[in-house]
Amino acid sequence: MEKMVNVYFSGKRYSVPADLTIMTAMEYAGYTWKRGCGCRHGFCGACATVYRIKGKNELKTCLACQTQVEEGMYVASIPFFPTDKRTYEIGDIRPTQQIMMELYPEIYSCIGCNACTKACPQDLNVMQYIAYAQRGEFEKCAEESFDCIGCGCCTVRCPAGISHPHVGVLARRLTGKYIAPKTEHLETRVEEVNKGEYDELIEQIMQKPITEIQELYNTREIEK
Amino acid sequence: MYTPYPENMMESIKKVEATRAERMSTEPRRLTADEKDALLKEFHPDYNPDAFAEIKVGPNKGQKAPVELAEMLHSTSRILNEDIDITKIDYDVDVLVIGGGGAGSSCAIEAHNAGANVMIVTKLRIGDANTMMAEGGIQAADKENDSPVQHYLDCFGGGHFAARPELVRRLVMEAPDAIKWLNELGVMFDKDADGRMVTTHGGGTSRKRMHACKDYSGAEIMRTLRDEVLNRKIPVVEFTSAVEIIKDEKGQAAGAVLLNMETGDYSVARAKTVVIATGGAGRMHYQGFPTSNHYGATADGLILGYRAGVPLLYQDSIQYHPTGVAHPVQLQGALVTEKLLGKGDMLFYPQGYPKPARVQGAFISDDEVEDVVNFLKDQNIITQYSPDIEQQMKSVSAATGGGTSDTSSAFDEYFVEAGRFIIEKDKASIGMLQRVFKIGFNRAARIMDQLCEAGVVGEEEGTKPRKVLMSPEQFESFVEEAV
Repeated sequence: MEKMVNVYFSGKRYSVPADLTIMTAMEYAGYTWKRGCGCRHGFCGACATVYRIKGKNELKTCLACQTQVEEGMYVASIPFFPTDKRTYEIGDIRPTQQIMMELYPEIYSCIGCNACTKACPQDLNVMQYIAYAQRGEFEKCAEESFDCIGCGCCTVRCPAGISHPHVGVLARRLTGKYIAPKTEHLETRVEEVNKGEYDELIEQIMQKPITEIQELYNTREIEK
Repeated sequence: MYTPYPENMMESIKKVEATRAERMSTEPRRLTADEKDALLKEFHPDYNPDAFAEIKVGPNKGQKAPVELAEMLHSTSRILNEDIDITKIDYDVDVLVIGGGGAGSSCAIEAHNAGANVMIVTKLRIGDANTMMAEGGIQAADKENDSPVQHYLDCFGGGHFAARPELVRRLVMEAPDAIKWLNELGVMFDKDADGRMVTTHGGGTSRKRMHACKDYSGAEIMRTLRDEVLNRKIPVVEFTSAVEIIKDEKGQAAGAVLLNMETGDYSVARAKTVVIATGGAGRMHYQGFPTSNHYGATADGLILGYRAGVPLLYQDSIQYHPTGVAHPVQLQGALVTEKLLGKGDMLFYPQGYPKPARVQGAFISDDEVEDVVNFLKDQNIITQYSPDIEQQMKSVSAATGGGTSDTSSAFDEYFVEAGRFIIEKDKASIGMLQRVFKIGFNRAARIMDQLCEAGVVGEEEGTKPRKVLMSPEQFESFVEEAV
């Protein structure tokens, strides 16, 4: 007999197999996901969820697709949470401290409670990356926030009303576009292609009879 | 936290362990073309005749498709008996993009660049897409030892010489520009200090041309594209599915009937151009396969286009990704990056970890670690110590008047008295030593540790007092010998 546990979806009790995730347990109970379900593999951040274990005080945040059910788990999913994304022209802004102040001034209201970090299902040091953003250290902010999946668990918990994932995206885009060094070999290749330097060669290989291409393919040299 | 491996998996793990040494020491031989064919015919699901059915209607009539897809292609329209007035226009745009993944978002950005009035409709949220889940990387021939022609060869051969040459040409010729475009939007590709892309092998590549953004390549691309779409204030209608293409009097696509997934209401979008940029069919679970695809990958776009008269291409073949998660069930089907195929890597699944961790040399047991240590020991390597450091260590231990190497000088001056006292009272307590000898806790605890090491008293036992192990006679003889 499969081991079962009691879980409560929006306060209603269901007995479900103990090895299911919150997501599959709700499906087992008969729910059909429309919102609150995405990639189901922990990458898209669609299934932010809060729960409390009966008899325990702590409110926990997690991804429904990655978290196994527990006995006495009271679950509520957060399929949508209003965040505040500011818009900008990536080509017009520059990686200066000023830009954070202009776009996301609320990050300077951070009270250092660290609730964001505790809430993060990706184990990111969220408060730290916000601190880097405050100081205009975009590269560090980008690194620290890199594994962010934008589920918004941090934002749900923030007393200062910060929309952390958007701050991370801005830092990463500034880093990717302006701070990281330019790639010469990429520019060169694009130029070559645009000048038509490969047109004739590609035409030649396209025209080759299949047997000849097969021969080429099966004997091609493979970079170590 | 997770259930243990089932028996059948333990068996395969044992097999892996039993053959590892042999496999580690040999470079896998490249298969011949015939061997590859034989392998594919035996194991590739595309060669399973029971899984395919003949398409009975539409542009691909008479051809084969997986039974699950064929059934959808044969189904009647969802809006057959619905009362929808297509003259009542809810959205009127130049370009209607159906699908909010990497392709749809890129398309919307470029349409916007070109000055078009563009909108996106998507069944889920923008970014809830397969792009978000691609970990390994994205290929482009942009290095000196590589070229679009080499990329063409790899791609065409990898596709078993069945691809449309003109499509492959576009892919390989435009790939470098696509990387540049993404980079300029701010996608953080892995680069070295000089700006050179860090590239690796993908499955079947002859050059290292896979560009990555750590292990979140697709996610990094997708969240950047999403951010850009939102920056441009391109309308994104989420949780809204396109269910039928509307055609004009010339038979050209002119919009779509949309279904609000939450309310069930229909609406009408009119557009000069309709782009179908929807995901695959993984979530139809052909032949019962788990899938690395997104929740939304249910072939909607294929059916939508087909009903409007667009022929399908390669509907009789599906891309099976060789590496995926088989255990635990919660993660079944999760993509395991293609990078591994190029590296001969293995996975390690630490208990209680939310995701599999990528570690070289999985399933290493304690025995193996011991074997390695013993092997190294047996090499009779002569140990050499730097005289400088030796000298330094000696001078430090001399200065502190002790050290662990020399037992006699290591004992506290109260050691003997404390030992006698404890044995006499048959009670080993640090507090008692503190009171009797009028010393602090640290010193008393240190004396107790020394007594323990000497075998006078036993180990700590939580809240219970330590046992006294020596008789007065034994202790006296120990003192004579050692102190």
